[in-house]
Amino acid sequence: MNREDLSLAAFTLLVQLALGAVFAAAMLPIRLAGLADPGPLVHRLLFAAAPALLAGLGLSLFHLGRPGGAARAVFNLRSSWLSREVLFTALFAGLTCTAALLHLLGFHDDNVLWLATITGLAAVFTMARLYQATIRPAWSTLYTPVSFLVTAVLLGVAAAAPLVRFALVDDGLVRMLLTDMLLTGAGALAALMVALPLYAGALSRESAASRESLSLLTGRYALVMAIRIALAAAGMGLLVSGQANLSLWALGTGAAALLAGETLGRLLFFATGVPSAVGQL
Amino acid sequence: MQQHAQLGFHVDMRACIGCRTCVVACKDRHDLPVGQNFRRVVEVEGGGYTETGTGAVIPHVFAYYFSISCNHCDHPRCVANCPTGALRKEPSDGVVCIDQAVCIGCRYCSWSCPYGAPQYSPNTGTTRKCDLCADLRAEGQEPVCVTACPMRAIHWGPVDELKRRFGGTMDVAGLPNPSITSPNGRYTPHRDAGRRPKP
Repeated sequence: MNREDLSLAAFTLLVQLALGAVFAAAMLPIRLAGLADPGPLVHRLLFAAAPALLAGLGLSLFHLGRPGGAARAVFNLRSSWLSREVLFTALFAGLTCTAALLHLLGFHDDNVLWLATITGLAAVFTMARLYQATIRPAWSTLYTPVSFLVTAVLLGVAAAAPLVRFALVDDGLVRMLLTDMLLTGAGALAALMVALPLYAGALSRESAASRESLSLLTGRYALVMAIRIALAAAGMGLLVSGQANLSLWALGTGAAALLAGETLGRLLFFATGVPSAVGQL
Repeated sequence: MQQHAQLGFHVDMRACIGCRTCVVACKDRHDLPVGQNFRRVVEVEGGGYTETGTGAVIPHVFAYYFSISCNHCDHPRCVANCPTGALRKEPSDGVVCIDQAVCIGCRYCSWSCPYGAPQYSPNTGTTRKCDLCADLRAEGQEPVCVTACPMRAIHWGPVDELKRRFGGTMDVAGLPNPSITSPNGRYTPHRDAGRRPKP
């Protein structure tokens, strides 16, 4: 891994976190309809997502040799997934910032939230396609979009869970929302656990480069992978505990564990992306 | 616009001794910094040994070399994936080249090429690559790797003509699957270089 990969790892994580948070914000008016005012929680989620997106976009410039020409990255929408990713991420950031500003000014427009969510999904989809279109077999499988969506869900849960405790006063509603989040997070984690062995099987069959990726995952980085999964599981466990006793400490620590787990997962993604190259037998 | 023949390289792996004169000549001609090589020589080694049971060991080892640069592919992923449109395939001769004024140094082309052709230069903040020595060709000369090779193992020209003269293939063990980008290089395989194993 090099410095450029680190900037891209941070960028992808922050965009996916923002997608999870904006999706949660879009769902709240539906889930809390007739029960409570979703405004304070939507407000906090949007003001978590917007800086994350702006920071992500800013960090992504560090992988460019000429950051000043970044605007030219949308010139090849016809065939480049990178161009499409840049466009959709910029739109996602613009819509999220607009939604946050509207909220600040007292205009609660759910349509903007859903538009931002759809644009965010497009950003993460094009992001996954971008990596799939490289000559790194470990990135070319379906595991890439699946793992990106799983990260969006888990980081969305990580962002929303502690904020729920801050924003709502009714303990029953807090527990209800935390239960929703836990079920969603558990579903995402289960999807990851199903996808991982399928991914390993695909890597073992593909090519010399993919077998090298598998060898890294099961050898040099096996412990890191185990820690990543353990952190995700521990994070969910702490959130379950936080849901039961409404402990902010448990919710915060659980969110931090999920964030650490997904960060390790993303670093592994970059570290195990072995390219197809001349000389591989 | 008049369509000309697709240009490319042919390398006779039977003649290549891995001396890397082509690499050095290219590096000198294009003034490339450390770590950046438009042409590279990759050594492939393999084999094993047999114990006779009488204390003797019979080796069955092999080594051969790929002298490789850009293959100016028919379906260059670097061109399709380039977000700025800086990479293009010249309609006149099929050579893939980079507009240095447009490139932003995102390196996505490097992630897209199985032959490692696009090379990032920290000095310019852009990616550069082999253009078959366009400046020399414009003067009626040959690419510098071709003229430098002491074994006369590298040839260049219209790919159809190279196929007629030398035959060759890109389906050689140690080369990426040619179906990825439809490369326009040709290799006459070394005797120990089998066909690329099927996945």
